[in-house]
Amino acid sequence: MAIKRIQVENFKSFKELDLELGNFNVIVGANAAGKSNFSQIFKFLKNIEEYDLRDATSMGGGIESLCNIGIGTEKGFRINAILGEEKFSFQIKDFQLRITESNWSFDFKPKGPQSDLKVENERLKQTFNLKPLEEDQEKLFDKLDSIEKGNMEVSSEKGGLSVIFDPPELEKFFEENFPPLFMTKVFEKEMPDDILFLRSPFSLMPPWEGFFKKIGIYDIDPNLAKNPVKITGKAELKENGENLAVILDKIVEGEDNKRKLCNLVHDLLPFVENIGAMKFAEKSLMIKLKESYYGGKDLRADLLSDGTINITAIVVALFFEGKNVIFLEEPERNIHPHLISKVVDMAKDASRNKQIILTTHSPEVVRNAGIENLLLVSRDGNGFSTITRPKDNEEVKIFLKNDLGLDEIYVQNLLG
Amino acid sequence: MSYRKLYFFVEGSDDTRFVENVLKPILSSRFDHLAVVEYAQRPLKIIKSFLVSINSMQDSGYYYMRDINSSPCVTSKRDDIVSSFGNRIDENRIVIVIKEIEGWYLAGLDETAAKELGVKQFGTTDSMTKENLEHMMPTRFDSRKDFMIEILKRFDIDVAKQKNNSFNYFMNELEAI
Repeated sequence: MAIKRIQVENFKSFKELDLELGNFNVIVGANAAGKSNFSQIFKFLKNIEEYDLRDATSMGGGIESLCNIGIGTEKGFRINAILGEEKFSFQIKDFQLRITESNWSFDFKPKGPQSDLKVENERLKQTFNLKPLEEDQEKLFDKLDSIEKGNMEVSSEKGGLSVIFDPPELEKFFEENFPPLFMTKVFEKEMPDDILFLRSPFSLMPPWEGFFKKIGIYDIDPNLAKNPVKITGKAELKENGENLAVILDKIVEGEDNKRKLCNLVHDLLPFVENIGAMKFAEKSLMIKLKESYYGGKDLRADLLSDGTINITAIVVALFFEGKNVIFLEEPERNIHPHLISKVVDMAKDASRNKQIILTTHSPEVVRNAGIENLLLVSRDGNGFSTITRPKDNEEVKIFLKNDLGLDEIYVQNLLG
Repeated sequence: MSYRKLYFFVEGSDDTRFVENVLKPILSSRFDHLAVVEYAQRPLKIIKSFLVSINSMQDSGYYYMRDINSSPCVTSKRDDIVSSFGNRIDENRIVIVIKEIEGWYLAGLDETAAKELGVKQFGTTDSMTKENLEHMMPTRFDSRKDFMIEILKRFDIDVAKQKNNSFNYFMNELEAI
């Protein structure tokens, strides 16, 4: 499951953005071009699902910070995320329903004087295929008038919810065989304008678990990750990696996970033999690591290099966090250029099963990413951020044809 | 005795891992230093400069490894490489991997090791590609790299020589150094 396309209007430094994404994406751009603002789109989507609209707005700095400073807040902003969900399917009666696309669209407008937001229009359109489970397909399709494909659109506009099917004959089929969907009708008359259908208890749309809260955004700070951290129960890696010790402790509880973690870290840092966490001052944990040097003694986090911590956190984020989308800010930090190609390769490996988005300033990351995966963020004459693909740039094609490296073209600021 | 150094020019990180784990242990007693240079995505002129430099060094040598991919035969692939390097490369130092490095990885698994990993039985690996490796990867692996590392932990050189002709050819050459 991945975000195939993202469209925004009046969000942060973007006036308008319409961008198709692949499974592996590398974002480059000059300082202040808008790379971090691009990551804020994903962060906002994650926050509106994980928390509520008021908290998400506050975490984003209020509506003044979320809207473009030049355009202002009056019009609000819009986000549209189109998800490809080829792998998601479930059974309804005698049919297999496979969702091929989910299109979430949100229109946010200012509400009151407190920098709050309201949702003026929220829409989910899902496209699906229906396939009979039995071999006697014709007989089954008779029941559905041979409908093989369809759309289901749930929209919340001005406080009311509606469910529309295309073709309309599908409505009866779903009503008879999939009652949860029709629980949304409870809300047909009224829904508060600061509650998103996305996270209402009646959002029983497949896939059942939310998509956006499974976006992982990471901007690792090795110094924070080296500190002792309080033992907690269920946890996921924090954006800055400060609770890495707790996460490692959970990972190494399972033999297979421990093996995989050690394999992947050792592949990048061959001197690392073992990795985990140690108790520190009763209720805290600290990262520990065994190197092939020093007679195999465990080393505490404060004795480890920043690069070692960063690489460990990257491996954890890419392979152990169970996210659909991983957004990694400048993964090259503190890492020797020789290792960067392996880090990029590892991210590509992870992108077989999830969507990976990296931001970078590193020519080594750019070189190893491949031109087909590069996205360039830049500012137009009015200061608005835009994103283009260097692979479509004719001059870039000529430079590459003449044996100039992608890294060299990037360093000379000639990708756009 | 002079300081002997051998360079391996390889395409990417999967090739580097193979050199580090399989070839280096065999050669470490005969060379003072073994280095790996990855050439993927690098301009050809950079690799040419490395080769010219190594040629001018005393007691340093190199191997340039390249997958045969879709080339019809070894000679044709070797000729293509020599031609692209403008004769700056010694054709005797070109190692053609058939068909891709993934075939060399898989070749080292004997029946017991394959069973242990959950990989279905297979014969020779002369026609194997990265797609074959991914297809054979058991579902308990969600990382291709993790799977390749587990293969190398069980890698048997004698088995690999029997299962892949190009690996056998190269190993015989290395043994003769």
